[in-house]
Amino acid sequence: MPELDPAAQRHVDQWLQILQRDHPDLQAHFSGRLDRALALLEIEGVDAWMTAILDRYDKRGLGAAIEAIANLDAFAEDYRARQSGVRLEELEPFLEKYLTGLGGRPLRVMNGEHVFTDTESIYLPAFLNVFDRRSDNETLYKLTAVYHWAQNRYGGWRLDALERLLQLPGLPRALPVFAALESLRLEARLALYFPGLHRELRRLDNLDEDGRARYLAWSEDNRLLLQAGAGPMDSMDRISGNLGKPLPARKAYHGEYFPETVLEKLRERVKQEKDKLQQSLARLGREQPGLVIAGAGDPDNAQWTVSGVDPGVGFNSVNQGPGALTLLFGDQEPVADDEVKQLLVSIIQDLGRLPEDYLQVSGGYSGYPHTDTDSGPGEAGKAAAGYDLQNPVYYPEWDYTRQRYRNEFCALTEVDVAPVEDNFYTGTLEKYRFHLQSVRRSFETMAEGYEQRKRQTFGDEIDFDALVEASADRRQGLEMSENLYSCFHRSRRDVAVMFMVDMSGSTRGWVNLVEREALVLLCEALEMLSDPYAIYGFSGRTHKRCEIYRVKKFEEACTALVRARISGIKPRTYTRMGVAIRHLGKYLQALKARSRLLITLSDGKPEDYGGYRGRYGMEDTRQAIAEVRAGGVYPFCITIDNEAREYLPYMYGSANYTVIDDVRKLPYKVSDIYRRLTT
Amino acid sequence: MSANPVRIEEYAIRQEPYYEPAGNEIDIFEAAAGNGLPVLLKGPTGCGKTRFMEYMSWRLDRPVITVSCHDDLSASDLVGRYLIKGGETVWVDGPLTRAVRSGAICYLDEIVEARKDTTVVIHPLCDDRRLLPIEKLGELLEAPPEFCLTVSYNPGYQSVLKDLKQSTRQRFVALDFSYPQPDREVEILVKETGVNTATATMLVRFAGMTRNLKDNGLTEGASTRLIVNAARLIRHGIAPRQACETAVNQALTDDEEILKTVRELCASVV
Ligand SMILES: Nc1ncnc2c1ncn2[C@@H]1O[C@H](COP(=O)(O)OP(=O)(O)OP(=O)(O)O)[C@@H](O)[C@H]1O
Ligand SMILES: [Mg+2]
Repeated sequence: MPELDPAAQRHVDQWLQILQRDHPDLQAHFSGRLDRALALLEIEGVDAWMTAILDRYDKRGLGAAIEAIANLDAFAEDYRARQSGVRLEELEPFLEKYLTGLGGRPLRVMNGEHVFTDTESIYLPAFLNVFDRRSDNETLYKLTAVYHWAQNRYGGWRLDALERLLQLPGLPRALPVFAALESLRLEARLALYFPGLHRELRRLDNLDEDGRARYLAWSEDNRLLLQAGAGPMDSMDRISGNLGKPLPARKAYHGEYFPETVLEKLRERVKQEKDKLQQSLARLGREQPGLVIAGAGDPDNAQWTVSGVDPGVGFNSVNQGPGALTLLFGDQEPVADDEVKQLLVSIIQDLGRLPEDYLQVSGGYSGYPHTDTDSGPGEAGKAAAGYDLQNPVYYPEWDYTRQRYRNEFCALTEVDVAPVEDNFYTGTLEKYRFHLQSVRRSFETMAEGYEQRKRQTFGDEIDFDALVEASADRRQGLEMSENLYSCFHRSRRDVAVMFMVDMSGSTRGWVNLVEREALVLLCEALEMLSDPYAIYGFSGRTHKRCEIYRVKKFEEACTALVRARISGIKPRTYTRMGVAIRHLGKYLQALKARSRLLITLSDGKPEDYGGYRGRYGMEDTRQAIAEVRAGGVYPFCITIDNEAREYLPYMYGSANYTVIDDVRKLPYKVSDIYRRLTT
Repeated sequence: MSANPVRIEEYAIRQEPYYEPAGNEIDIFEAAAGNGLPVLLKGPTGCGKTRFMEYMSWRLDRPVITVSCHDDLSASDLVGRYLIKGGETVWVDGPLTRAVRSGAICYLDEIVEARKDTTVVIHPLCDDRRLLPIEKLGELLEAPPEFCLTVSYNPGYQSVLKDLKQSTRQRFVALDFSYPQPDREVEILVKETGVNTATATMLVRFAGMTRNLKDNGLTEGASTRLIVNAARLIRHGIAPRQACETAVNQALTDDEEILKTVRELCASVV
């Protein structure tokens, strides 16, 4: 046996001892393979091998264990793969953040059977083990994501190009040629803007000498595509000339092309985003006048213009983000609206330009978003007549058609959510364990901290400012203050928060699941702070049957029962929001905390049976928000409704809500939003 | 009797500061100052607000008195207080009073950081009365036409604790300061630090990427100030990546996860 260092020798002795105790034959076979094992694996690897052998011995006896010893090579290979391999799950949060940093339309990273992008997501394998080194495999994930980001970013999936591609005769033959030509163009672009990435792309392309030579020749033949101004049409133009020629091999980070899938996504998005943009511009236009004193021009005839779009490239080449765009309304100051800019970025990415009619918004002021169901409650609630409620509390409701309250109109009862004892809570903790680590870290820093309080009646030090002032006051013949000390306090956060969870029928499925997951993560995060928090659900059917579901009261701890109630949150019926806000706002107002937050998690507009729709529901909700705000409560709404930007500002005010574009992101975002709101 | 430590002339700015305008903010500020209107500069940290004030001070030829607000700043800190000197009490004007008396520009930086009761003392100065009551002296100061009140505010922090009350904000003419346009920001870097255009472009591109992470891990992206600092380090021979690491990355966040992302973004362009 070769010389081992003392630490390793101790391990070996220990292994042999253990095996001797179990069965001398085991020890003999093991010793016979020990040299090779140490040659193939590090100490930890051999240790893992030992564990596997003992496991075999315990479960299936000596013969199986000796067989396992004989299969050392297979074990070693598998073990190394597991060591160097990377799971997508571990890297997903990083990859998404990284791509967000690169800019452009936000892209999700997901596991998929094929590696490709559909312009909304990038699909990647669940596990990568191409290179021996773990860090290289991590980088390969990043490069694959970047390469597909570049397809999106540099016009590879522009609508016009895509339509032309799909009309090509013999698409199956043309597609690989297009993909190979595009790879030249995209990599040249990456090289230009991201020299650091480019170095990595070259290092990890996983090509042999011959493969590299082929690429070199291939790019010599298609030099035009390497120029900064080249676009997808240039690649298209060169397809026919290259048909039939041998194509260079795919690089490690290249994926596949599924143009039909993309076209479907794209057509739908193009339509949606045009509407969304025009609605947003109409809203912004209404908000503009008054911002600026000089040169305001006539708001009714003002036109929207956007500058900073470089038609050749799509974007100003210096900045990759929406920061490159300037949005102007008439001759006023530029409008800084990140959401609209992000939308513009997405549109330009799809179309390669911004068509003029996109910015033509018909004017006309309307204080609230139009809906076609503007009617009062009329025959409200007839359907629910006869429903028997025990001890309801009555609340008023604002009827905008009459411009007054309907007194004692809503009957509200409070019930506990029926607990469901399953492993949902722990399962969620497990599912989000990577994310939780960083949540805990950031909440830890929130909880700590000291502050110096001045002008106290007693304390560790004399507050000289106060003393001097007091002496001066005395000499002036004024009364001398007694608050002359300063002391250090563990800074107490003085925040209380109520989560009001939408439990309407529309949350069925995904939304309900992510709401519950988000609550689990929130509880975990909030337990790190001393902020009192409560969780209640709301739903109901007509004004006679409004219901509030208790999950956690302020004074309740996050007990097993509370956890089981979170699991038990189920979609119910409708969304009568005003009454829920009034009721829960009351609880908050009863607390002494300096900042009292009412955070609503919702998935849509207020809506209930019998007239509580459209403008009526919105006006009542807006009124309820104004009421609790006057009572010192700060209302905030987190919604997953993509249309919410059209109506939430009206109800909550323009800074008091967040729209989560992707339902699945909700659990990731909520604690972050809470942190932002309270620091 | 006065015991003011610094004479007002010392706040005057005699040399033209370098300021790269983004739009017509200079004209607007002049119009506001000429009409006795207070101005609110909205924008993230490090985007040129202070520089703009220095420039306007020079241009209007009025001294600027800057107060950085913090949560301990009391009304007396702004208005003034009695002090004891050699057994006698002496009244000392606060910076706001000094600015009003001498017709200077008073710049209250990060106004939301000040205690809520402090903000209230500026209210009567902001409407058309333009008055500053000094309770302890029993005096009511009327601001001369030259006096100009400017406050700054970062609306980016969507925090309950740091929101500017409507009753305060509606008294101001608001100027929106966001990060300069990319090519202008490159220009600022070049002129301010003397780095070459290629380096400046790379830094601006990197800053843009971190700004994309706002509210997505970062509270705020890299400001112009941070990349100006990085450019200075580079100019003095520090390797670009190292310069970014110390001047930008570490300044942005302590969270290892996010730091890793920021570093990778930096490495991709630098
Ligand atoms: N428009 C500009 N012209 C010239 N220099 C600028 C401009 N914008 C930013 N800078 C540079 O950025 C630096 C930071 O700007 P400044 O100190 O004015 O930021 P600020 O907005 O006052 O930040 P804070 O809110 O943190 O006080 C300046 O010192 C200057 O180097
Ligand atoms: Mg400043």
